Amino acid sequence: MSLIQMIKFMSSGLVITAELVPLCVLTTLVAGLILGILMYKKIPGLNIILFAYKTFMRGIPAIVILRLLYYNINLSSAFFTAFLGLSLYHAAYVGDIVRGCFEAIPKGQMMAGESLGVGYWTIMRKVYIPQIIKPMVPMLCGQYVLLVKDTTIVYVVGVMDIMWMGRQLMALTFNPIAGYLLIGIFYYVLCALIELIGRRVEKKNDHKGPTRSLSSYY
Amino acid sequence: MSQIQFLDWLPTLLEGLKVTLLSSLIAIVTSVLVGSLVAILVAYNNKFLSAVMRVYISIFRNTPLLVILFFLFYGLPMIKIVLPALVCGVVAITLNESAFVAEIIRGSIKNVPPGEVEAAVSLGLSKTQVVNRLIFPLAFRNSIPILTGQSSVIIKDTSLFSLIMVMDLMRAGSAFYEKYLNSVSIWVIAFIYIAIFLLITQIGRILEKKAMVRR
Repeated sequence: MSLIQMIKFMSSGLVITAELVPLCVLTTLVAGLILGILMYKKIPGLNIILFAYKTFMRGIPAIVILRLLYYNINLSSAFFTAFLGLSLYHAAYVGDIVRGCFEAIPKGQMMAGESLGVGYWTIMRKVYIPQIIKPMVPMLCGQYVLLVKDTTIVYVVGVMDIMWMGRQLMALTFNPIAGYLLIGIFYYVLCALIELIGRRVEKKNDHKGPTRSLSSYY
Repeated sequence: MSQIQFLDWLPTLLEGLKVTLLSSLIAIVTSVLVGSLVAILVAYNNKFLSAVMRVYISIFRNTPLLVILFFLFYGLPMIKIVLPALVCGVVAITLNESAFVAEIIRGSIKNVPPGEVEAAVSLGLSKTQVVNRLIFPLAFRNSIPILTGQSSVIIKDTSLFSLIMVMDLMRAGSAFYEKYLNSVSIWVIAFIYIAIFLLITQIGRILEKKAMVRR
């Protein structure tokens, strides 16, 4: 099988992976933002639930949550199971990132806003969220690289993604090296792209200027 | 889960726990060693070496562990290298996570105060001495809290061993499900993973405090 044929064979899996990633990214972004704000607010009662959720998700590997959903909840679509599992899993991480960014903002800004008679959510929307976007983007990019890499395991719940196709291809051609090399390149390009965005934003945020390298002394 | 079923499963669970803990311990040690080596080589500012190491970091950071794992597990036998599944797994994790460790330490190296480096240089220390005696120890100590976090990621990574037929914690859980069609076992292993995670976090806190005291 030539390389072109291999790519054609795997294209259906590639499409599924390409659908899963943006969907999960969007959902985790929205859910993470809400979770982060709720964790930041420290509402009694809810705080304990959120902490338990966060600890649970951070403690287990992604494959465990996928298997839990797969065995416990009888969802009709494998794709939806994978989507739900990955979103639940990574929303906890994104929520933690958002909470961390919120906590980095001085509390005085909230007090200043409140003393001016501005409502809580307006302060959030107009003061806090614009400030957290810049430092958040590099961290989110790091998290989304992990999310993209976690999409490789969704085949355990029966999603016919690119890894599944890779296995089929291996059974067909008995050439795992070429197949997995192709998949590896696909993921590398995707992740490197996300990483690049993160790096760019990080560089823009960095006001320290260039540091001297060791070779400048010798 | 009845008692008989549980007692029947217990040896498998303990075996899986042993495999997960042992393999992650080995993987943590090898990843930190290789990652430190890579970070030191980057720190030397040798143009060629630095470029090679950057490529290494970039490739293994941005390739999913599972792809590396399958590549080694299914691909290497094609060129007549047959490794046991567990060795394959540890090698794959080492390749993948050492890139992360190297990046963490490289970040700490960037944050070493330039004044200290200048002081060392002005005292007449050679480049090797500056890197090995000052920059690396300082950077390593500063990155200990993040490294403990990364170790818990490595432990979670070992759950992928279940996909290459290693009887680890994850596979032990699935084995019970496959036998009795009862998913309680997955909950049990989930809580074992969480217990390990909490333990590592606690160790990380203690280490962080110690590093703070020494500073």
